[in-house]
Amino acid sequence: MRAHEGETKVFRMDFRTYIRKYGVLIALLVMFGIFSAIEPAYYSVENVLTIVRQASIVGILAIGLTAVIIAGEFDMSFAAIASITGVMSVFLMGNFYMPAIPAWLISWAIGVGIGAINGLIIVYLGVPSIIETIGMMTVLAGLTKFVTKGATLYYATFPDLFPILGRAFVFKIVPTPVIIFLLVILVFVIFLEHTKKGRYLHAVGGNPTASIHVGIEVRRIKFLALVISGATAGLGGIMIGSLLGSGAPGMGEGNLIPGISAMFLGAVFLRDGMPNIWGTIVGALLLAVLENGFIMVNMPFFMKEIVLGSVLIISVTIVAVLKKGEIPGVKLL
Amino acid sequence: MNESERKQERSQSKPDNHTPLLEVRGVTKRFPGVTALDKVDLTVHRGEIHAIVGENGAGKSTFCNIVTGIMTPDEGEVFISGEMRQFTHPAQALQSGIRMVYQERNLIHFLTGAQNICLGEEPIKWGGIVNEKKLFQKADELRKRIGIDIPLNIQVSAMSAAQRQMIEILRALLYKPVLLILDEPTSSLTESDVEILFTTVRQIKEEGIAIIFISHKMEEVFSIADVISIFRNGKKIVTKKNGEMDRNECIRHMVNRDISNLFPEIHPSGTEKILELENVSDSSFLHDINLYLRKGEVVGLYGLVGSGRTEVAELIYGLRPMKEGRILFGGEETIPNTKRMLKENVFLVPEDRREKGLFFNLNLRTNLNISFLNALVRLFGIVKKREAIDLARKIANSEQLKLKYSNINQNIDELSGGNKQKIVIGRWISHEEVNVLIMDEPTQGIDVGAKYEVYTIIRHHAEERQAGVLFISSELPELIGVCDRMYVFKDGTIAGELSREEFDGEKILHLAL
Repeated sequence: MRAHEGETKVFRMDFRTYIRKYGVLIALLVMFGIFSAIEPAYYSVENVLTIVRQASIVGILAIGLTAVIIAGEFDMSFAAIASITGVMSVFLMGNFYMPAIPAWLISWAIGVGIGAINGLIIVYLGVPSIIETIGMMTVLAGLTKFVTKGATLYYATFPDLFPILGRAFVFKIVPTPVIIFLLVILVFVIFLEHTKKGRYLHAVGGNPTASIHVGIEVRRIKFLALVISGATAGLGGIMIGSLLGSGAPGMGEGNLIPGISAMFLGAVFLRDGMPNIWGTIVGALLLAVLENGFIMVNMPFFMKEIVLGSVLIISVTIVAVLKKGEIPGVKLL
Repeated sequence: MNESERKQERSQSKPDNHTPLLEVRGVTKRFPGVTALDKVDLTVHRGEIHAIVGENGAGKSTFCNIVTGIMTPDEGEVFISGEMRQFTHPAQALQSGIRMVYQERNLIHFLTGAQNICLGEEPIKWGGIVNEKKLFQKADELRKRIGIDIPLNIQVSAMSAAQRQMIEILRALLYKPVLLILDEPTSSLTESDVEILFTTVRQIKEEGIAIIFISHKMEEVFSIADVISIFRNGKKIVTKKNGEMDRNECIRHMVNRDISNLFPEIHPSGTEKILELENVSDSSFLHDINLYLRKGEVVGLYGLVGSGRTEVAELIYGLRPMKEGRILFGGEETIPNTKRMLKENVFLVPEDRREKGLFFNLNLRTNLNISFLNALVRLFGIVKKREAIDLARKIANSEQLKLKYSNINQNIDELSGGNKQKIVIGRWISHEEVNVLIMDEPTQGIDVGAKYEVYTIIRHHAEERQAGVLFISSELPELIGVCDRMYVFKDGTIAGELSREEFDGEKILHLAL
């Protein structure tokens, strides 16, 4: 940033603010260091790329959720949207012998459409978003079971392109999900931090009344946020389908708690208690480091959930306590 | 217990009536980079209304925070009834009988007045059930003792601002305080409500309770205070008895410069009509509004809170649906809609900047340029960052605003009230053309110096930029001082129109009440 006469630098960093701002990143590096010390194989290019691949799908879903949270709403249905789009893509290719690209586009459009339905109900009918999306999540779980008849969909032949979104490698080493993740990050960093619409998203989430006063169409912006979440969830879903090579009723559900955790972990990164895109990315990476590390060091099978739940509670606790001068609490509605 | 007995009891329990109730000696409080309080001495006696006056950032709040134990001083001592006390926690101050009534209302809206007064001190029946009857009696006794007439059995949500403030004060009195601190108690009250509140405050004073009264408003301070202390830049400048200091001296101490005139000079310059409302009604309570605004003219909208002035502004700005009547803009009929109005360069500076004006999750830069983003984008809606920063700086440093800030990317919560208000004003007046500027309570809660600057901005826009300005306020003196013409609102319609020659405080109040 250019210095300007008469202005003082805004970043006066003492040790404590440093820890507070970069705590999640520091935790990420420390955990990585610990696992590397225990298991040397952890510290390799291949494993680092595996970790990023594990982070990529959760990360993409969490980025959409972050956009919704920034606009002052919540989306509990993103993982269920991922399930139905994943199942649909597999179903269209396997059952109707549809080529990969149209199947993906149709499935993705379903995700976008569900986001739009969420948006319509929440924004134009005024239903609290957390409740509406819990309802939508449940409806979608049922619909996914309907499509799959409750079992795993597996077909003998799939289009050649099918594995490319989840299981392929670029230059034989970089997993394709990592590339897609990077592209999504690029798009959303520009969108949320550098565009007019992105700024309006923050404005609407921060003060809807003031937004109306400056001529921002609050409803349209909130609607946009929910559609975005549908779109990222749809993308995540078709990637999961491609990764698994099959379709199962709850295939996306496992991303719900990690996605929310990544977003809240990210809220303590850089900005005090404010969800933001960089934070969400670091949060998703931290979760992947933990998960991958636990597998490496043969952590008992039940530990994953205990740790994941604890990470969510701890991160939200930090968000709640960081709100200086206020009674601790996180507002979701 | 009658009046004299109570006074006797009070004097028996505190035998030495000449020991000051509160004595603060050499109190200093430093924050990184600033000294918020600098060796302040202050003495408050029983039964005294002690006004503390000063611009924003003068140290009034820090002083109160120290007296109420929210902060501990770096240096200096606090004596309560001659005993040195070092509060490290607000609870200790409460135990010593120090109560503060805050600016923000802390009432629970769905509870009744009595329930709010006794909140946390409810009389209990067997089984932990609240004894509502006893609770009401308890609140009623207190109310009768103070001698004010407010309903206790209706929900707070149905009460007026003044009544709520009084409930808040009664709640504080329940704890039999020796010192009551009122922080800007009148900031959202209309003038008639203020009188009611002051009667109450005087009655409380008769009980022998000391009162610290914090205010921005000169008239109020002079009408109620026994003693006035003036703070400036963390120092106490002077303490004088009311009557020993006049208004001008008071202001001079506050701002350290002579404001010979509280208001800028007026050069009437109204030309053709830019905005007309003909028989306008909305679906709720506005009805038969007829008003016009000329270019180059400042028109005041006066009335009690809830009389319809803010609602008319919202209607013009398209925030409130119109049901009947016509609105003409520049002679042409128009249906108000926020986007259209913005395009026509009609701007509204809303009341309550925290609630309606500012984005606390965005930095200063974006708060300033948010209304310009349309003009600052390139392909894909990406904001041109350099231009955005330059524009924000240009707005902030403009001759009219002279915003005091440390960095264009700073958090706006750190700015003073006056500077926050300037952000909301600056957002609009920096547009190349300003046709109509609507200012709703633009001077609420800002200090004298900043008020003068707002008045100057208003006059400048009318006289130099040929805008029509609608100036909404609950403070009659400022409307009289700044406006060319005035409409008085009452019960959702216009009760009267006055030209500058006809301005007369009594007459206007008469129309409004």
